[in-house]
This record gives sequence, structure tokens and C-alpha cells, in this order.
Amino acid sequence: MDQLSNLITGFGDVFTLNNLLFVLVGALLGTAVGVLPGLGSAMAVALLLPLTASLNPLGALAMFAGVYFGGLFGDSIAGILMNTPGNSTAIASSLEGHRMARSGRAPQALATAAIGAFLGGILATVLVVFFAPAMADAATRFGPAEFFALAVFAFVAISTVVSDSAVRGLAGLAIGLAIAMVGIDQPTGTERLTFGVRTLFDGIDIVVITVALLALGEVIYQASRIGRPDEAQLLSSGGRPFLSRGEFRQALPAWLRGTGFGVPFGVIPAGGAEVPTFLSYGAERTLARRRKDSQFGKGAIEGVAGPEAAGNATAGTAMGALLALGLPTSATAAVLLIAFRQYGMQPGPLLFERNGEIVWALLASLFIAMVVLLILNLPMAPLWANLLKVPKAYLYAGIALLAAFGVYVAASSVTDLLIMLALGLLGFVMRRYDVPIAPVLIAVILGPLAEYSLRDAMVNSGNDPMVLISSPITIVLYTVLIAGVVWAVIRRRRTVSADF
Amino acid sequence: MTGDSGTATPSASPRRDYGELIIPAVLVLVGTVVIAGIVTMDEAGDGGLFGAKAFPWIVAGLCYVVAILMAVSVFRPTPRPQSADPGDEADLILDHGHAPAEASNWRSVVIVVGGVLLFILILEPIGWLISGTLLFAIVAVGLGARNHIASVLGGLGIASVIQLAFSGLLGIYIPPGILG
Repeated sequence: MDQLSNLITGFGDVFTLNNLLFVLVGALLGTAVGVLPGLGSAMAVALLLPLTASLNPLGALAMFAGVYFGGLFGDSIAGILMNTPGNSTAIASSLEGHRMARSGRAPQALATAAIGAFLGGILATVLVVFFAPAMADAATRFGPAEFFALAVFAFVAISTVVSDSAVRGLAGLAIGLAIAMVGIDQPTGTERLTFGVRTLFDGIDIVVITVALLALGEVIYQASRIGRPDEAQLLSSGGRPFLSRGEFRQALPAWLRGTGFGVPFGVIPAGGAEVPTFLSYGAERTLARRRKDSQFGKGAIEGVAGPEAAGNATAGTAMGALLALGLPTSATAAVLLIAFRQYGMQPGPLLFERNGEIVWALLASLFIAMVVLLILNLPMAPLWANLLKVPKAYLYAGIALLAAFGVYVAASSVTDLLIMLALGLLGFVMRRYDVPIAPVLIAVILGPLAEYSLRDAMVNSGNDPMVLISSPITIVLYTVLIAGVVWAVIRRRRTVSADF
Repeated sequence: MTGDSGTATPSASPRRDYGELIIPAVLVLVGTVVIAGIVTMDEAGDGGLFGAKAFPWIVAGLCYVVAILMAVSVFRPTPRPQSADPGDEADLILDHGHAPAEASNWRSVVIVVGGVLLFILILEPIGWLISGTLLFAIVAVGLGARNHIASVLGGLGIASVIQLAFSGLLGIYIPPGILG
């Protein structure tokens, strides 16, 4: 078992005071941004990127991974206690979770959520440890046609299968692809879309793009919503904080089923954990109806357990897809990929070979982060809810300050700040009219890969388009993609026709 | 910004929100800029069929097609379908979570954007401490902070901490401006 010995070496690398401190900071920060509505782990990592450029890569990456998982631990706390989910990934678990809290079972709901997040994350990470190296190995045989298929798969999946309107997803995708083309064209050295502006020759810095869209866009969006009534009310969460044996037995199958929903979605570029959490919620509801004795609708423990496990399982396998294939499947994974690049590493098939030490140490740090997060969340969930008392005005003022600072110090460039403002306004408009941000980020990251592999494939084959669908891997990818699109269309049609 | 409601069915009224046209407008702008970039492009050598210009053409086309589709959906909104399972929020959120945008507080938006713009203009001449403090204070006011003195002091505090941590400890260049 190569993997086990590698992982143990990884644990050895992480177990320094310095690195453990980074894991802890990441877990704390992640839980905090998870609790706070509007803030997410993608935004937190984006803000940290320019500030951590000079840190040691392992510590910084371990911290970012802690933020990623921490966000998924924390997001249900506010949802359960106040019915204001900290993130869209917690909407599903908040439905039954808040009902549990209203009927005086808040501590049980919080514990179910924390244990579910822990189980889902651990199980998925174990799968990654065993299968990611094999996946990376298979991917080393990828040629231009396969990489092009992978990128197209990601583009279509993120923009059409998942977002509620395919057109909106494609809008984000088109904007991202255009942004990615600015700069010198690598194969030919041609200036593209720079219009003679010297600072654009290297392209628009991807850190500027992420900070602008995720942080500044959110600040402006929050400003636009000032004056809305804020009726959320914090429910008390005192009482026995642990699950009884009966509750545990009720939740366990739901945790496992939720993990089952989450695991495949980490590898599909479906924009994160939202879809699997809802699928898991739907499955639990159907099962409960069949049993007829369930508390569904009144605060059923399975309705919390399933979606929470699904969310973190998605994050776990998303790390696998990121490390082994270089395929970011959500906004946060996209920002993590940028973090790797910042330290001169390229996630993908060769990462395990070239930077094996860091990868295994990072995987080890995920296990540590999960344990830290369980400890931070299980008994202390009510304490975290106090974060919601931080005045929004100062919170977002601080975010704006950090965003502006980070973007400036990355290159000491005022032009970057102007680009940030323009893209921040774009991010605001997109949020206001429900155009998803994740397709922009995926397009910015995978756009160049798609373009260069398409051009390589065409040049190598003398412009024969059939080369794009001639290998088994490409055929499988396109088949899965078409099946996914058909499924999404049928699902949408069914819900529409149900009321007529 | 929110448009008139064109139909009568109250349960599933498709509202027309013409403000939404800004997204197709952005797409048309992006597509046009891309085409302008292609036309003015000085391609080094013969790129062949798939040179430096091919992908930009595809993206520009995508921008226009999506812009048209989106504009059509703004003018002819589809009725919001109702949940197959009334009273269950899950279906509603998952299958048609796109709620019509509500009125925005434009005053706050202008204050925040103005604050960022001011920061950009004065950062290098005046320096980080003052411009950072102002950015924090202006954004806080824009987001509804009533205590202006607290906003300024809070901004000064955070800007100073950032200056000390990054300039003092890590040696990163931060424009000192008039205080330097």
C-alpha cells in the first residue's frame, strides 16, 4: 500500500507546530466565514491569496483546505439557529434543522450537522487517498483531445446542468473566457485584447479577478441591499448537546446516504455542494414518506444528517479531482487551484510526481483539519452564532480594505485596482441578476487549457475534427456530458409540467 | 429598476425586469471588444486555421448568442412554475431559485463605489494609512454605520495593523505617501 506509507510520511511533514497552527487558523477562519451569511470560503481564500504569497506553501495550502472544509461545517449553524443559512450549501440542511431548533432540539440538530460534515469529509478524503493517485496516473496519458474534452465537460456542466438557467450560466462562462484571453497568446506570441496597454501583456492577474468578483462584488451587493428588514432571530440552543443512541441510529444511515450523494459530485464540475445537498434532502424526504412514521416537516434528524454529509463529501472528492486532474469543480476549488499556481505548482496528473511530498502532506492535513473542525463545532456551535452580532457595516468595510490592499500589494499596480473596481461592479451586477460567478472562474482557469489543447489537437491532426472524439476517454466524457444535459432538461421539464 | 408586471395571474406572475437587460448589454460589449481585438490583432506569422484568432471568434459568437437568448427571456419571461409539492421550500429553491431582483439601494452603492475609486486615486500620492482609513470609513458609512468617528477610528486601526504586519514584519512595499 503505497498510499498508506505516503500518507504517514505526509502526517510526519504536517506535524510541526507551525503547520498545525495554520490548520487551526484555517479551521477557525473557515467556520467563521461559513457562519456569516454572504461570506464564503471561496471569498476568504481569495482574500488570503495575495497576503500569503510569501508564506511556506504547505502551511498556506493546509490553511486554505481548512477554510474550505470549515466553511461547510459552519454554514449550517446560522441556518439551524436563525433560518439564515450561511451559504447556499446549507439551505437543504437548514430546512429540517431549523424546524428541529424551533421544537427545542437545536443542540441535536447542530450535533447531527457537525458529525455529518465530519463523516462525509473523512469518508470522501479516504477515497481520495486511495483513488486519486490512480486517477492521476490514468490522466498522465491524456493528450490534447482528452484535455479539450475535460474542459468542455467542465464548461457545460458548470453552466448548464447545474445553474437554474442554462443561459445565465453560459453568460458567466462567456465573460470568463473573454477575460482569460487577454494577454500574449502563448503559442504565437501575438498580443491579444491588450489594446496596447503594457500592463495587460501578462493578462489580467487571476488573483485580481477572484478578489474582485468574490469579495468586492459581494461588498457592493451588500451595500445595495441596505435597508432591507432583517427579521432573523436567534433561537436558544441550550440543553443536552449530544445525540442519544436512538438519534444516532436514525442519523447514521442518512449520513452514509448523504456521503453517497456527495462523493460523485465532487468530481463533476457542478459548482459545488448545492446540488448533492438537495438531492440528499429529497431522497431522505422520499424515504421518510415511505416509512410514514417520520417527523419530516416537523424537524427530522435525517433531513439534517444527509445534506450535511453530502456537502463535505463533495468537498472531499473535489480535492481529489483538483489534485489528480487539475479540474476545479466549484468556486472554492477554483480559488484553491490558483493558490497552487501561486506557489509554482500545477494541479493535475503530474502533481503527484513533481510535488508528491506536498500533496500527501496536504491530504494528511485534511484529516487533521476535519478532527479540529469537529472539536470546534460539536460543543461550541452556539458560541459561533455570536459572530452574527458583528455589525455588517464594519465587517464589509474590513473586507473592502483587505481586498484593495491585497490587489495592490500583489503587483504595486494602480491599474490592477482599476480592473478590480470594474470587475467588482461586474460581480455586483451578476449577483443582482442571478448570474452565477463560478462559471466565470472555471472559464478563466480552464479557458487557456481548452484553447491550447484544441489548437494542438488541430495542428497535430491537420485540422481533422474527428480527432477530438477518437479516443475512449473522450467518448466516455462526451457521453456522460450528453446524458447529464438530457437528465437536467428532463428534470426541469418535469417540474414545470407538474403544475399544468 | 424593477419593471412593470405584464400579466394578471397573481400566483405565477412573470415579471419583466428591464434592469436585467444590463447582462445582455455587458455580453454585447464584451463580444464587441473581443471582435475589435481580433480586427486590430497583429498575428505573428500564419496561425493556420486554428491560430490566435480562432478561439476569440468562438467566444465573441458565444457572447452574442447568449446575449440574444437572455434579452429574449427578459422580454418574454416564462411563468414561474410552482412546486409540485406545495409548501415545500426545497423544490422551489432547487428548481427555480431565480427570484426577481428587488429594488437596490443605489445611494449605498454609489457611496461604496465612490469610496473605492477615491482610494485608487489617492493611494499612491497620499499613502496607505490615510487612504485605507478613508476607504474603510466610507464603505462602513455606505453599509449603514451611523457612528462616523468609530468608522474612522476602526479604519485607522485596521490600516495600521496591516501596515505594521506587512510592511514592518514582511517588508512588503506599501505606499507611504505624505506620511512617509
